[in-house]
Amino acid sequence: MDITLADIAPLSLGAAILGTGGGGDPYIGHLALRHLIEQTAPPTVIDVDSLADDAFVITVGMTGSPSVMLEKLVDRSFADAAVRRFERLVGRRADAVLPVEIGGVNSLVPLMTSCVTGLPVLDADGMGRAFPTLDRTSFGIAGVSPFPVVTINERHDTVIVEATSHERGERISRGALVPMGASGSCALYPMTGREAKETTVRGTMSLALALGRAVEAARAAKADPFEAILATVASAKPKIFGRVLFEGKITDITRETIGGYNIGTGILSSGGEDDATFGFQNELLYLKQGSELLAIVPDLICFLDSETAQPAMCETLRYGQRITAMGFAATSHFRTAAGLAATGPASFGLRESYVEIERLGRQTPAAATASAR
Amino acid sequence: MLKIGVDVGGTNTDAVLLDDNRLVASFKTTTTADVETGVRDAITTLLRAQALDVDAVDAVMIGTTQFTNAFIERSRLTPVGVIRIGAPATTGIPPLYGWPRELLDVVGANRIIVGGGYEFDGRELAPLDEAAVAKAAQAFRRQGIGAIAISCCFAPVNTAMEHRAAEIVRNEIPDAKLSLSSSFGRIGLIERENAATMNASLSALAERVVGSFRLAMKKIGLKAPFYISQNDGTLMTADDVERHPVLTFASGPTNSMRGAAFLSGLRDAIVLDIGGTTADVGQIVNAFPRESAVAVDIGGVRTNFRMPDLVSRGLGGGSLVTTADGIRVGPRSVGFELTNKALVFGGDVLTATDIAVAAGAADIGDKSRVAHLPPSLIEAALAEIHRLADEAIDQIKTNSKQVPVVLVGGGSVLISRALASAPDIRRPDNYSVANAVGAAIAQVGGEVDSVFSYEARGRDAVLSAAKEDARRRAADAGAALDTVRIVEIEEVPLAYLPGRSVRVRVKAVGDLRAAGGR
Repeated sequence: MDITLADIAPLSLGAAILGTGGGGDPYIGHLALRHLIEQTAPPTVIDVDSLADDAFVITVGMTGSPSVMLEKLVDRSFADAAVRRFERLVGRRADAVLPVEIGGVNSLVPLMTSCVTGLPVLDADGMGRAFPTLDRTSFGIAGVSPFPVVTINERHDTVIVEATSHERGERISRGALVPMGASGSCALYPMTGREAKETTVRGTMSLALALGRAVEAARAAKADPFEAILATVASAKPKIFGRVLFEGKITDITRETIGGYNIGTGILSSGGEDDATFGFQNELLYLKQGSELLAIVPDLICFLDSETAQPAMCETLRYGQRITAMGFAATSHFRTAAGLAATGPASFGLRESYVEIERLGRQTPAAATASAR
Repeated sequence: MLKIGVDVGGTNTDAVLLDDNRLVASFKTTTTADVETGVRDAITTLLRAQALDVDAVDAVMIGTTQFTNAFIERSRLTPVGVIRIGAPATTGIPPLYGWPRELLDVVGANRIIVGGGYEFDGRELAPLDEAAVAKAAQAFRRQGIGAIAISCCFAPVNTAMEHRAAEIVRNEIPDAKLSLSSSFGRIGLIERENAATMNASLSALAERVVGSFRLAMKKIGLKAPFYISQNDGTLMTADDVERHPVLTFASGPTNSMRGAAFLSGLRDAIVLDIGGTTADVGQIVNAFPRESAVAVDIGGVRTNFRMPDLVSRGLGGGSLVTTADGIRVGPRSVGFELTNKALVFGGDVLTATDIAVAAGAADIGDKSRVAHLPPSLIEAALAEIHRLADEAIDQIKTNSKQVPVVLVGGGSVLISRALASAPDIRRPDNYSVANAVGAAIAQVGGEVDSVFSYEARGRDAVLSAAKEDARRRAADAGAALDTVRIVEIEEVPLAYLPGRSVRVRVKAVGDLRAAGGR
């Protein structure tokens, strides 16, 4: 499947829905990808199953401070410098690239790589959503090492990190990134075709595109975009459970920046029923109605504008916004004991125990519709 | 102190006279094509009615939407050459990328990225490629381009390379009109560069419009200084506006909100400004409009302007009232044709104004022409008008605390009932000239916006230096130093950076000092 200019807007929209309130403002990624496609060939997306078992696959993304990216933008080598350096390092050409997460700007970086190198992009990622740290990946949980991590800036200053743990590696990389100018591209999580088949979250690039197209079509037809989203996830392969969790208005929001993360809580009020409360660390972590849990990480919680279904970012949530909260089941990779240890409530310091979204919540008409599908 | 405020709108030119911040008189006339005649007419009529000599006036403040309208209509714009300093960074997205085609047809696509720029902490990213700047300037000169925009990576942290590049350009094009991105604040290269480019495209118009203001003042015989109001409700000198016309882009809504605060005597309130076609709702905090936190698109171009945070609805005096699909009010409007299309003016279109007149809430036109409207229709339309206003007011709030709502603008007669979101609604006297009042009471401001390391200097030292710097900038801009106060401090920790790097923005404002004082 080729990604055309007309696909960029729905793809960014779908990725923002799956970004669960985080993933960063995709504006710069969006412009850079457009510009690249106009100058080169359209990026190609392939199914993971079309890879040979011994194929060589590399994950690519951006790294650094989103605020710095607002000034330095991206440079012409952003698309391929990290992956080319990685190939020289290990002495092997890559056969494909993939995004570490499907939410926000990182979902667009491999497409830029594809424009320049011609390498196909896997229809897959490591999260099926966005998470605030790069260690919460399906491949990491399955035992694939992220190292070496190659980080490169616009001057081609390069840092190669091999560390004894995810946490130490992340700290070393960030320390090195500051004198490099605090923004760059990176290549990490090298894996074989077989590992990609076994450990990635599949079909997420085409899911993002389908979600974006469904919402755009519903808007154009003046149809219900939330129904369209539910229909899209229900027909995904494998089928993804989803439902409308709550509709209301934000009546309270507090946030602060701790350790570089956007952390906060808020209240959604619907007038009639009990209020809902939510929490976020870059991405939405949980949604509760009264004392009753509606959804919690790693399941996806997405806040969408009640009128337009435009995804709301946690960074810009504000009082008075009308929100329709939707929830989707996390990939099965995160529902194992090891998966929950890395991505479940306790990994974010939450006291609640994880309960699958399918087993939570009151039966609303929307939920009944979704499960009848 | 005797001040005159003038609002040069698309349709009307309004003028008000203030004596020591007391409204003495107001006058409305139509805007003239040359601008100058309307302004002159408004000011002289005002002075004559009060039997005042022109020498009694201490200052004239003008608010205008001329530049905004020109950019949105893509008319009267000048071709621009853009030089960005930032390679090898920033090269993935060229200047002007994503601008609407019809705008590029007028402004041109003359752009280049040269070597240079800074890192977030002010270190050099690369040395300035002076030869490339000179070469670009020569190429622009050959094409007859004299309006040049210069941007630089992290210019808000260090402005030196932009200034050096400006020098080089001036060597090649001595009469170049230069717009530097560092004059337009904030982190965000694309938005800042867009602002500089928009500014450069308005440079010829700015000379003309400011020239016509100068001519009007000269013909009136005014010797006192005159100022023009900018986006954040503070004043610029005529020379400033000639150099930075783009900074007037949002002065319309800002003036109406500031005027509403003045007329109502409230410092914290929500302002509902209803015109013929749209209703704008904003919030004033400490007598200044709360600014938008998100990037604002103007004429299809993304900007970083200090714009009031507004919620706009298609609700105005001319809004169409239809019954085909349940009762609907707006967003379509008869606009400026209200006075011949509305029922009360003998027309055949049912408008929101007709509903207000039929309900007895307003006395406009001929009331007998709406006597036939069924009470159920009037009631349903009134309910819809108030629902729209209620929803917009509720959206602008940042918390559920009740604040008074001030109604201004000619269309505000539509609101005659209590609103769920606002039990306390006020319509002050002179509500229809709030814009001109807002211009007359404008203050002078100074701002600092940059990235600092709290680890290196300590938070207290950084903040007090920034405050002092903002105060000094306000005084340099014409504020009386003893009235200058800090109205806003914003600290944004830069995520993922150690050294406690924080983006600090401090804004100071003060009253205009009388001529000669300090």
